Amino acid sequence: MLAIFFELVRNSGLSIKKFGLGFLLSMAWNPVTEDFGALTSIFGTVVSTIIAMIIAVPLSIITALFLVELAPPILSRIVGIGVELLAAVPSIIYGMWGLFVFAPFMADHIQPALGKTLGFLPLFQGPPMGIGMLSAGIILALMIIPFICAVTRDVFQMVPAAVKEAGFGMGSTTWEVTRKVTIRYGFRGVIGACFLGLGRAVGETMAVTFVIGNDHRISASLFSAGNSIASTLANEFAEAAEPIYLSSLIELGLVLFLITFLIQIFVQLWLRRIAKGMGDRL
Amino acid sequence: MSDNLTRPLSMEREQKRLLQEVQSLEVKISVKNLCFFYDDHQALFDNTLDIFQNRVTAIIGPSGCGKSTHIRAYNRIYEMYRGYRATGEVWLDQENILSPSQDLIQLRKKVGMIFQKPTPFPISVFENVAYGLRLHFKMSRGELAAKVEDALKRAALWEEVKDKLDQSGLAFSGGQQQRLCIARAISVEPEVLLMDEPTSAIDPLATSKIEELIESLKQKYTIVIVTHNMQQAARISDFTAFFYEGHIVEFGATRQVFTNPAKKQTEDYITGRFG
Repeated sequence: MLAIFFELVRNSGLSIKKFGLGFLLSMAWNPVTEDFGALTSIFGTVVSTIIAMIIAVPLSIITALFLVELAPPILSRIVGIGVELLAAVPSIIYGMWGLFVFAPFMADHIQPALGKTLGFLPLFQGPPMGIGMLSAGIILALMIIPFICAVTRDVFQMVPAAVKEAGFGMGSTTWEVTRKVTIRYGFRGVIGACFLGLGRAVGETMAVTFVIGNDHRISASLFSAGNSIASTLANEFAEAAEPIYLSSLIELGLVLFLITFLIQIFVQLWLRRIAKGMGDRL
Repeated sequence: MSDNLTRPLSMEREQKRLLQEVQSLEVKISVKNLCFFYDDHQALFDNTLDIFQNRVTAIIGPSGCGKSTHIRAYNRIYEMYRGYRATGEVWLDQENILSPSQDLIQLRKKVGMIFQKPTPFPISVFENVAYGLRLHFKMSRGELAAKVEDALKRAALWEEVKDKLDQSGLAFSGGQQQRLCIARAISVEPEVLLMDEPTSAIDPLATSKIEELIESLKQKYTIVIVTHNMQQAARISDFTAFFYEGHIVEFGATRQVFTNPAKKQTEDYITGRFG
């Protein structure tokens, strides 16, 4: 870890020296004038991840609860295996599917519909191009759902049967047991699963590169093209001829590294606080 | 009853007295021809017995004989699982609780259950006890707090937790957790308490506390307790049913079952020849 960190810092020295902290706040990205800034990429990473989490977390938890609490065992097993297989699909396949199948579908159906109904919000304005921030977020969601769902399902399955029986024994309905016992019991595990998904979404490269549009721009509309740190790196590494260009890209990598690291620290601290609140027994 | 029993009586007089006493008791639960199936496997065969009001009935027998299965029919908790079914009749007061029209939520409010391992929910002590109250009643915060305190006092736990009500229910010892579960069960004023080996997972000192508690709870509730521990059955119960391989071999007053069993099998089990 430390070695990677130092190597990243060493190789991005040139751009750190030239742009300083302003690198993080600059929207510029101009290889011709050799003026670089990370803000558009950071923005893209954050926004696409947020979209992915907003979609993936509720869907995953609902699916996991359905599989554990409601579905007949056979269905539960089949869907469970299906979900696990989805997790094994290489990300480039998601990317290609996203570009050739999903993006046109978005452009033809979903984006016009969103534009019509929610078009008064700046989020859903602009031409329906298919590729862009929203598509990237949805593809990311599809990619992390299997992870979150599989882990969450395991967590819910580990809730002791006796505790659930106690819930039912008090005269609760299935929903009350689910809400007040199962979810409470698995809370830490679910948070852990979500952050596992988050970690993957933040760093995901190929699928995002395919559908995000790759434009160094910050736009209020989710329909417009953008970029993320990982997609910028994947796209531009091969073209980076000048030392300062390369150095800026490496600094971008360093930023990504720090973001994931900070997320980890935050999660650990938060989980510890929850553990304290729950009596350190979960 | 137990006070009278300690006095030496001739066998005949005692049996007569027991018979009279049984006749004067009210039947709370009447089980008729209860059979139970785990999918295709039959676990209970034509169980028939009466559980008397405000008395402690112990169910004893070797492992796997259907003791727990039997009492788990009283609140139909087995319905959580697919493929489990019961036939026959279980009358609680005037209702056959096995009938499909039985409201399970009302049934489980009336028939509380304590499990082998303590099962506090991963929420605070207060919320654990308030759990059932919130489910079944609408009450103000003040009333709720008073009810929680009352239940904890009756479960002999109040003194130990009154300053720790907002700590997690999981942060306490096994014996305390079990008393917390008892408080949770009695908070909603059930009529029957089912206890499925409630002391098998906790230490002897905590066990004796829970046995004392059972003694005091029977003033108000009808208690059915499954136990592996025959001394425990002899100490705390008024009636005892001996189960073997899904059949009720013998059912009678505890003193009689333990001192003068009618069946050879019961005697063998009680004297430790098998099981």
